[in-house]
Amino acid sequence: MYPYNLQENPYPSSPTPTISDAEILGGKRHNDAKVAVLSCIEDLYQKITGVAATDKDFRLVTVIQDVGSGKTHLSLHIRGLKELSNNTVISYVDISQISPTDMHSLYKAMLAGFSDGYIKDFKESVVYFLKDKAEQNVKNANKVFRFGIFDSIRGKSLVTKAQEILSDKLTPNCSDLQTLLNGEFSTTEISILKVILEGNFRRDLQGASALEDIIEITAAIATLNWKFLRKLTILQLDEFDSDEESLDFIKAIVNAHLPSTILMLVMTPSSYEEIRRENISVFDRLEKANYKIDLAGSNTLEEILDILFEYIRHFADKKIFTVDEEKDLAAKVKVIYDEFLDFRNIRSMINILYHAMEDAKKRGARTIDELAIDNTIRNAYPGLRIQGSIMGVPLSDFIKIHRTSTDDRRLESDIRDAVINLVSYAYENGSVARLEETNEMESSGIDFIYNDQTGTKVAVAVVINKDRTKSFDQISDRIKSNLSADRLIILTNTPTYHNTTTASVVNIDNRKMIDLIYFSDKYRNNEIMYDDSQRALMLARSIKLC
Amino acid sequence: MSAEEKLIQRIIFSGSLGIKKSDLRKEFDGEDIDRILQDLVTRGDIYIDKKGPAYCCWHRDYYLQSLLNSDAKFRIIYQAIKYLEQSINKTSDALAKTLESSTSNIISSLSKLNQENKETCSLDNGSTADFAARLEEFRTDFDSSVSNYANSIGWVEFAKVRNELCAKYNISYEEFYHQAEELINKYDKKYELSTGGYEGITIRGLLHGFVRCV
Repeated sequence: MYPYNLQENPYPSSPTPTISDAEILGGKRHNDAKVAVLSCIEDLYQKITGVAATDKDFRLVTVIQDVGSGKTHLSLHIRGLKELSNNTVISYVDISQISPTDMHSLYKAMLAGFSDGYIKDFKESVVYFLKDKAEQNVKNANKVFRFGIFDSIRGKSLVTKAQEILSDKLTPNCSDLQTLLNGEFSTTEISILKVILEGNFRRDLQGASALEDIIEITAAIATLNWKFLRKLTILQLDEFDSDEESLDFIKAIVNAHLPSTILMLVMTPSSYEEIRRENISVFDRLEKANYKIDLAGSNTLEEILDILFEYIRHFADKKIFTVDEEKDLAAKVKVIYDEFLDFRNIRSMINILYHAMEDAKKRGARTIDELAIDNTIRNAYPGLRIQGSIMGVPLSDFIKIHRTSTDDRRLESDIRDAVINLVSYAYENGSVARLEETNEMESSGIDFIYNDQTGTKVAVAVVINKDRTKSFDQISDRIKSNLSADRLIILTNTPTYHNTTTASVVNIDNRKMIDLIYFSDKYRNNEIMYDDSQRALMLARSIKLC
Repeated sequence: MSAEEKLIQRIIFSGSLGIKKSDLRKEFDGEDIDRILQDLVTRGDIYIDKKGPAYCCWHRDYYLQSLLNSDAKFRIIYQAIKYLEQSINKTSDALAKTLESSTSNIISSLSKLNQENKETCSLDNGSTADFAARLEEFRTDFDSSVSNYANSIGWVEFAKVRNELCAKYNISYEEFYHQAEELINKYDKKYELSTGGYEGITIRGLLHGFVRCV
């Protein structure tokens, strides 16, 4: 059993999404983008409903965002949407899988991008269209079904014949199709209907050699999709780039204004810029796209969290994966997001949670705990370290300390204890003299006093999350008037430019604070090893204690 | 003068040769010689040792010389120890001098270091303040440049921004990207980077040559 009572790991492990992975779509930006695409489809659909599609019914949609931001996921999600299956025909083409990217290979890939289900539905629709004509005795429509007198004697109907064609038991006779449909359909459309009936849609249409033929066939397919299926044609071209032939092909398609068609181009900002350099004419057309889908902010923490949670929400019971569980997991993910710049993208985060799920399952953990994430980072990314951590704090401890350091009072108290422990440890190692026991410190703002190696009497004050200027001045004044210290060190967590003549203000950032607390825990539990010892003294030096 | 004092005087007088216990018994007839001698031995004032067939007494100041005179092995060991002592003393003196010199050097260095630390701290704070101010100024110009050069969806090549700001601030390529990285790290939610291009900031080993303000 996986964490949160899941039967399977909800996270995909493939570096790029598969169609089944793309069934789940999380994240506000991604859902907004989805709504925009659906809006485009809805708008066009309503416009041409009840009328014949014309060359004015073409739409261009661009999706431009960085690699790993979820563009392919969005495209595949839209392709797989059940709600679109009744009003769209979608061909998805990944241009990165095509070589060379000339017009023929692009066209071939586009034909291959139509699903088998679509071809079956199309054929069925055409067969029943012709059956109706045959029943109405229109010209020689019954010839298509090879329907003769013997069929009547045997009791076979046109419906039976139509079903035999659909189940490939009967090859239709398309010799008179041109005569039958002439005037109602163009020659190209009739050719397409013929190859559909004969079951050679992909094979026979691939033969087009000239660009104008390719454009004509594509336009004819779109027209027929609307006429027979009442569906819009959506051509999705993923990983679109500045390849010369690709650009020429797209330019031709855009110029042709394919009827009842939406062309969706998916690319990176880099490709977009290269297109501008390579072919200003195409770039100009892209700039005038009807919809420019923007996934801005797709790598923000909120977006990543929402996407990550959506995978669990999709499979888990709401009573088990509660709001509290979400908050708990969010805090752990936030630490990874904050501390590792490399993981600020959804692809890396999904990979981490995939491994964390597996690790937690092996250990029988009920949730994704700190150890699961720590193990994942150590095993999947062994070279990674928390940047700036002197003590080499393991990620699991880092997350734990990070989470408990939200209470200012407790944090200040922990830091104070940690610094005292660090000076005591430095004394045990001969780096400084013993801490002084004095009553001078009471109400002075000073936390402790010790003598450094040169015999200088050093007073130390820990100031966490306070009005620093006021606090520092007060402490400096007090040390001048009350204390017999030669030097004052103020350790504070807020970046400051404040300085006084008697005080050295040392900034201890989040990582140093966690280093201090980690050291302190080890010191209290007598767990300081040789390596820790060197690091601890380095930590003391880094905050100018010795 | 008490009998004990007289006895000590007599033993001292005998020098390194010592005096036989039997002779003392004769000289101090009527005194409890054995008890007095035992007390003196206990206090460490005298030593009683066998010399030939007889027991002799030495005052503590002469017993060592007696041993050196009578025992060749002891004399050799004593001389070796003396030599060692002299050697240690010489080394100690040299060490003491070195330590004294080193300590004064260390104290002097530490004092200088302390002073430098104070100065550095002050300088650091000053330069940090300057840097923060510079970063804010840089940010304003950076945003303005991004806005000027951005395409319809906001993306702009770093190189364009770099050209403008390097000329304006008279800074190098490296300085520009150092500042840009600082800026983007500080305001990471306000900027978005994208891979590609020919120059920019490297993240995850990928060159991010495009930027936009979110």
